[in-house]
Amino acid sequence: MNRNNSSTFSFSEKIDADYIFNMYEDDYPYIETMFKTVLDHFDADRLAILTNFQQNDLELLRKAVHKIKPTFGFVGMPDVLEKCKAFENKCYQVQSTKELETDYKYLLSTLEDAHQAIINEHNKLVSYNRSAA
Amino acid sequence: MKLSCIIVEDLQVAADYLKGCCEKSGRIEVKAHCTNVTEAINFLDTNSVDLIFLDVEIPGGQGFDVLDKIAYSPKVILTTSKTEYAYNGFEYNVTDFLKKPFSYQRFSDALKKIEATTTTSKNNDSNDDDHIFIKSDGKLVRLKNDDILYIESMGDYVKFVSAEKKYVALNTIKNLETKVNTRQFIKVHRSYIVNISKVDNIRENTLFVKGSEIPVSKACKAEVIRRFNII
Repeated sequence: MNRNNSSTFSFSEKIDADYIFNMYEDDYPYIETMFKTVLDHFDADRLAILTNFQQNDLELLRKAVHKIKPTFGFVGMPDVLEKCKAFENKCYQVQSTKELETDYKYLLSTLEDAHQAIINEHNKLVSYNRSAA
Repeated sequence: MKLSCIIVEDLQVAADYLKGCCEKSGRIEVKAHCTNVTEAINFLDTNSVDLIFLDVEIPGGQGFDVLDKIAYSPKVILTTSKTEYAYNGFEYNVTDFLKKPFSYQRFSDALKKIEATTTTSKNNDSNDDDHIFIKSDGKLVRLKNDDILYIESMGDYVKFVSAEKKYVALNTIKNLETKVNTRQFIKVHRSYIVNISKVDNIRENTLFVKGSEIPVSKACKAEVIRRFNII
């Protein structure tokens, strides 16, 4: 359930507002900073996944997904975190990245959606914090 | 007094969050943020801290490799998103395990555990026992502190060296570091604890104890200089 009311920032439905509140309470400038940090490193972390999949390096692919996984907790997306965890666990069960084609496509699409949601939320936070200043 | 710590973490947002938690607590000073095993070992070789926030899967190996390489035993809180590492954590005697991401409240609870164990350890430090009992050759042997020259690691065993005799016992330097009378003994290397009063002279990074040469590690050097009152 989202912690939305007229006096506070309203997170979109893709973000678990209670999860965010549990970590940062209502420190919106700090939340904005954390979202920015995630965005600053997102492309590099995603590139590591792409590269290691293309190079058929299963262990490095798993490590890359393991690394990006908790990122989604810091921006209130525990569902995406769980999807990364499921992919990471699958890496242990296969012998080659070829066996992960379908899961990989699903993972990339999940990451893309999450990335866009983080961008949108960050933009909203910037506006909110500016207007509140 | 604030506890000093380092953060070993390759995920920037996680490191930033942890720094924020440390600042908010007002009880921890972050000395450094290292993103891989080598960086952490290099830092800890020349700096000593009270606490390490340690991620497990980091570039260059595993976080546990850092604990294997350093010469002293700071408190450790594991920070990882994989609970499977908790078991290894027990083997390394870590104080707590924070599953990323964690709330400030959870961080604060972990900190309380650290402070509780630090207090206990400080209380132990102040004991003035003039002897220790060791299990050697199937019996408990009483060794007077004054008779021990130094203690040397031999893998899973340690050797207690006195002027008269050597005793081998199943133990580790890491464990003994907190068990011996810390006013009388000092760890000078990951493999050696020496009786301060038995040191005849010091030359560069070597202590001379009744004919034996004991190396001093980089990580322990600052503490050795402080304890030996070198001016």
